[in-house]
Amino acid sequence: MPTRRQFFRWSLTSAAALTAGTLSLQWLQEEDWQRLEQANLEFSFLTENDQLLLVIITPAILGSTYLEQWQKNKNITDLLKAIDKAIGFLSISTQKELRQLFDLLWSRLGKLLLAGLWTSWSQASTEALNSFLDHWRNSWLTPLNQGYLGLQQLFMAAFFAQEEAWPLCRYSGPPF
Amino acid sequence: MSLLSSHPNHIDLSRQQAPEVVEYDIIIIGSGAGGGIAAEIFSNAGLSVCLIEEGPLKTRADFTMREATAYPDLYQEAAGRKTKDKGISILQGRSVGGSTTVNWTSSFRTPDKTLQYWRHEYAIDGLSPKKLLPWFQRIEQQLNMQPWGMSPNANNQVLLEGAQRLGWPTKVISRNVKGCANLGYCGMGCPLDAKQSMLVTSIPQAMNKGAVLYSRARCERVIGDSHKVSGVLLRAMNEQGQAIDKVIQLNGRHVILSAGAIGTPAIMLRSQLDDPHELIGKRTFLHPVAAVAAQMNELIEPFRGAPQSIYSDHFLWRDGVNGKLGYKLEVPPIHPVLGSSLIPLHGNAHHEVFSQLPYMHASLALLRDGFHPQSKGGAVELDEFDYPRLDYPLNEYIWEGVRHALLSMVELQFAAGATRVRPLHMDAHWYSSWSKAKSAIQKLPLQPIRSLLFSAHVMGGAVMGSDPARSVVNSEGRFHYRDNLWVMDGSLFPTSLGVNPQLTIYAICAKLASSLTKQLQS
Repeated sequence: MPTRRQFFRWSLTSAAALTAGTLSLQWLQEEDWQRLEQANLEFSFLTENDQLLLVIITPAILGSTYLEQWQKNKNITDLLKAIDKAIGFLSISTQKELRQLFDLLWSRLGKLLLAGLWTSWSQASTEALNSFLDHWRNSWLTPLNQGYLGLQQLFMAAFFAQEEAWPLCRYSGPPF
Repeated sequence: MSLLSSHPNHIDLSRQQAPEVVEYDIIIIGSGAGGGIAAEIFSNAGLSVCLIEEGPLKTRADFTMREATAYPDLYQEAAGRKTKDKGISILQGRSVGGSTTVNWTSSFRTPDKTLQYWRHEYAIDGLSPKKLLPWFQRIEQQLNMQPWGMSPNANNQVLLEGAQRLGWPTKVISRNVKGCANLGYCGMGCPLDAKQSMLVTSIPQAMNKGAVLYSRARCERVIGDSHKVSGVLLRAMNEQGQAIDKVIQLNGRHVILSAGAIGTPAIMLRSQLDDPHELIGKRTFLHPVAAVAAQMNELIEPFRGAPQSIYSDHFLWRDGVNGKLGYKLEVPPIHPVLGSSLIPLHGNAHHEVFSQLPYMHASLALLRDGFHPQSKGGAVELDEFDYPRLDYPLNEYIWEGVRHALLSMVELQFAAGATRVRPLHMDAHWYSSWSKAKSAIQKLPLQPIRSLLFSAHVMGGAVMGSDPARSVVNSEGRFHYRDNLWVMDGSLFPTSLGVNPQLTIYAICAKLASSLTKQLQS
């Protein structure tokens, strides 16, 4: 059995063969790679699995327009840090629910992996992840809708809390 | 009032030790509208007062108009509080001053119809429109509540024009401000101390008369015997607003619960007080809010200017007091963090909507819950960590009101010149005409989660009345089963109000606190 850390590194670094669409990992910048190597020291809620999951899913949740603007000044891992910090302010039972959500997300995306759709996380295309999110959003299962909104709100709030994101909604900021 | 943070009577329990002599005439739990006004009244009468606040003490210098810091600093669960099924998002203050520090300053007297309903249905004495009138006048004067004198901002102007074209009456909202610069950041704490919140009025007044303020201190439970309470146990809270392992005890002759309509019932439940009819935490109301975004031709900049200055009560009593769900029409400000999380989309689809922010108007309908047998509100319960959680089931009665309100708001927006509209609903799209929007809204599946609902007004849960089989406290605010335990906050209300609640809370709590003061002095 590989350790979590070995699995994490293998997942992110195994050779990626582009089959169709845009590889989600192509959005990762050099600094993200370096930080993810040591990230475990910096996060208080997000586990290594969560970090991997969120790194992979970020390009689909934010979309290319938001992400390109963000990456002019910041990294995906900055966003993960902001999300991690925000979770720390939620009630303990909400944190527990988020833990369940991330575990569910891991297992659902993991199933796609097991089904041979992707040979590794690194081959997940943004388009496939987008369909995955749409499936959660439009499902008749309320918990999946809840999970979708939970993720979406965590990401959008962390994103638009930063001044770098404000031009994207043409918000000029406070008067002083 | 930035001096408040260095006031000798302030103790941040997360960092400081409590003084050794810890006995007060009055211990007040919660520093919002109810606790703040009560603290001032008791202190003015020469009673020794201790005011307990779960959140931090943040003042003008901390109010930098940034959502990134305002929500974690000033709101319950960083503005992410939700009902049990996640169907309703709740904005509730949590810092010294409570929700009065972050509210949008809208000030209304309680509608006569609401007070009459309480009298008839709950046999509440002493809260007739006539008896409350001097209290409304006193608070209005004290907190400088006046109809907004400047022009409404563009976001409110849409409501005004749309309603006028449809012949729906509108009025100007009174605001509790002094020297307001019309910035639009009330929800993040007033950076000018213009908002006449408890933080800059009653609380410093009380402290200057000797009241002691504990911040970052959560009341775990009241203690005492089966007749009287003798004090409270407090637990310190850390920078993340999480309880830490530091507990102190304070003794008091009287304990006043003013922790808001979720916090007050939670303390009562944790204290395992007598509750033979299982009423504690029941009948908790939210004024559930439905909203519609509209794209306008002209620049709106919904983040600028006094957030709420115009309202319409055209539909507030649309089917009488206790018929179909009535609603008040107002507008919310839209800033990047809260605004972006209200658009239930991801990826570039989100950007397509949210990039229109400067041209976006939003209408909201505040639904007057609690006046109909099918509107019983929610129930506050404790989770496995003894933390409160509100179970607020949504039913067909509520959804009928939501659908009616969505239709009205869209009709108004098109009348005001909207080019397209979008109800806040996961299955809604942009609609470019009133007729298209109307047929789409009539078919929208209204159900929890898919239909986004909000609340900024939490009421009820420790309902007042004269019959112990139907109420938790009596008409004086005293808990039926203890001689010296009182409730003074929005928990008292047996229904919602139909108006933004701050003035009602101030007036009723000022009246109750004054009457208790008289009792103690005689």
